[in-house]
Amino acid sequence: MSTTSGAAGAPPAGSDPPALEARGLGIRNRDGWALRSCDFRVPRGAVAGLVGPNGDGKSSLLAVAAGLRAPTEGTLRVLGHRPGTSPVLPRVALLLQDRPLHAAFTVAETLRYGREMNPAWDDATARSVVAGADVPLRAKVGHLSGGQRTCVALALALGKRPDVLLLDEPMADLDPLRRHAMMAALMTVNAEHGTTVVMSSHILAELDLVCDYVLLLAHGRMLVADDVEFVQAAHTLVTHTLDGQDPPGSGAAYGRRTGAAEGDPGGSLPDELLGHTVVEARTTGRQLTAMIQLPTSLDGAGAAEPPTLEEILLAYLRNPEAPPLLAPADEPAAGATARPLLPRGQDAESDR
Amino acid sequence: MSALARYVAWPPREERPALLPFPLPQVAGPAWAAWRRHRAAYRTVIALALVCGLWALWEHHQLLAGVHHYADACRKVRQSCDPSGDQSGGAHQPAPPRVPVVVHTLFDMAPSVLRFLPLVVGALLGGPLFGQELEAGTHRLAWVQSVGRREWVAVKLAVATGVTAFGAVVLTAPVSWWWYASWRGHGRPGLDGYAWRAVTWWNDWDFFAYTGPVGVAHLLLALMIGAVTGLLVRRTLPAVAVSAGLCEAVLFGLGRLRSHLLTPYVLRHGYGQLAPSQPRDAWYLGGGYVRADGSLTTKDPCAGPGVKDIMTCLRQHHVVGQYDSDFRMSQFVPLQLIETAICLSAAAALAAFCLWYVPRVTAR
Repeated sequence: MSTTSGAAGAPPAGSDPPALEARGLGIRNRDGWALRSCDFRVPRGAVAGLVGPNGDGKSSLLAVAAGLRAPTEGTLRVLGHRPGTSPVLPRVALLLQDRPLHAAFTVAETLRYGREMNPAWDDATARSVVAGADVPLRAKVGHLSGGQRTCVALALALGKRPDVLLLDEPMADLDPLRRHAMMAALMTVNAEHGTTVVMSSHILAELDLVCDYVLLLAHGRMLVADDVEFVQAAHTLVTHTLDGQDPPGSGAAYGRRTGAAEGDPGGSLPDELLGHTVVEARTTGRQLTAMIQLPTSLDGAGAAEPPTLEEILLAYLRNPEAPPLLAPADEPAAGATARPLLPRGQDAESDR
Repeated sequence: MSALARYVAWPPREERPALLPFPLPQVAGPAWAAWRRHRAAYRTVIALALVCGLWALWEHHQLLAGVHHYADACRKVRQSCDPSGDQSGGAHQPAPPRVPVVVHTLFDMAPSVLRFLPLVVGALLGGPLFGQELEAGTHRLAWVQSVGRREWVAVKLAVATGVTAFGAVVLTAPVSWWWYASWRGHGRPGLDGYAWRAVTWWNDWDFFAYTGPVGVAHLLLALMIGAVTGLLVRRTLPAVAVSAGLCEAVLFGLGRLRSHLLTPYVLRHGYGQLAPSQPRDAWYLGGGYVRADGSLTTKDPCAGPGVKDIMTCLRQHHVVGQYDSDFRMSQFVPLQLIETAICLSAAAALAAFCLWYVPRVTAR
């Protein structure tokens, strides 16, 4: 299974392995593949958002990264090690989606649980998270509300003082105040200790504010894995007024891999967009709006504007067949210009 | 040693009672978590064991007093109890002294409780050990802490084993003492021995499974059976039920196996002759027929309605005599050690299975 030269997942000497690195990763659940042939990496110190539809393998990916389960195929390396092994287990914390906690413990006992189970326990951080969320220390965990449970579970995760913090839907059941407190705590730990944060979320607008790296999963494929800045720079939203000809379908959304490569009939996409990688295009009346990946030159009747991250992610979510945009899994040889223009998800299988 | 130091904490001076000149060690690390998780059950087990143990010690005292009292009554009214066992005293014979109530408590009621103790331990202590964690999903909480899964399993099993072993020893020791006192009493000469034999009339082997190392080993095996069941079933209530059933089956199997663990003594005698008497503290295993070539059979060749002359039939089947087989008291301790070894080996194998299995569990 090991794709790197190092034996038993040992990091190659001299280099700093990334926080997460997947090669040909596949996860199969009981009812089918949650994830297939995933290649991505999350650099150290990043705050990465993991986005995707419900039930599309986000939780499975985090469970694999925390060592709770083994990948079905391919490899995932956390800080250069196999997840769940003794060198990396104390350095990775996971906030699970259902926040399992011992219901009979009090909050104070839960914090003691963290202290006894983690040699590098940071009691001050954990207590400040609990105090900041206004959770009484003497309350039984079983009697807490959902949001309070989340805060206690987050205190356990942060108190572990991890190098990689994996959060599964951390903001789902928090009120706005606690949400801000939690984001502040995450930003603090990221800034002070360089902790890598990977969080799955549905709230795209909030990711825009905090994340500097984005991972997008849909239908078992990793569609986007790159810096937020690069992702934003790499996409253009083109608004095109269809003149004369009939719209291909009023209100219809459609996507094409690459208009030119597939010999797209002129009826569905305007000529100006041929030759570009269209993530998603939709028409509203006589307006055609298209999200274009890595535009080379845009000359035509279209009005181009930089999209927000939310718009880009929505475009990919609407069209899971879009060509993926993935940061290279290997160290880039010559800077950002060496980024491949071809969809990497397809040649990954033939590589292995 | 440094690895074990994680499990013990020495509280600093300001946190311990002023009366104590030295710090008392406390459990720490994963052992604290394992204790705290099932604290209510463990405290109940320890408290019940201590209460029952103290009660059993008191009952031992009551037993000795009761037998002594019985012997005294015999001395006063000689005719009521005759050590020679001759009961042909006639109608005017005075009634024998009353058997003390404690005897009924100890040797009728206690065994029926002791009999089901492994079921209780396996179902209520072993079953929820992993079943509860897996049902509530809290095993994933433990598995994403810094403690490895294998250590987590080992510590949980060790704490549960420690509590069970403590309770088992506290209970088994006084029960073994009852048994030892009554066995010694049965063999005594004169009126004392008669009183013991008249009051405590049971067989000395009836308490085999509740005394000595076997009493402890049965409970430890039951605990491991329950733990593995909980691990595989992953639900508390089904684990409790299945563990109880499995423990009962294993106890039944052990009881059946016991008579095959050692070679019994065999006493042969001619057909129809009076069997030579066995020692009083022997465990009678059964008898059968001896064939002419010396081989033994438990099957009666002449049983059935069609046989008219039994002696002719036996002769046709080359049966020349009968035999009785039994275990002697000299085999009691070897048999105890063998059964203990079997139980502890099985328990160790089950624990090893847990250690092997848990790191392979897929958690979602």
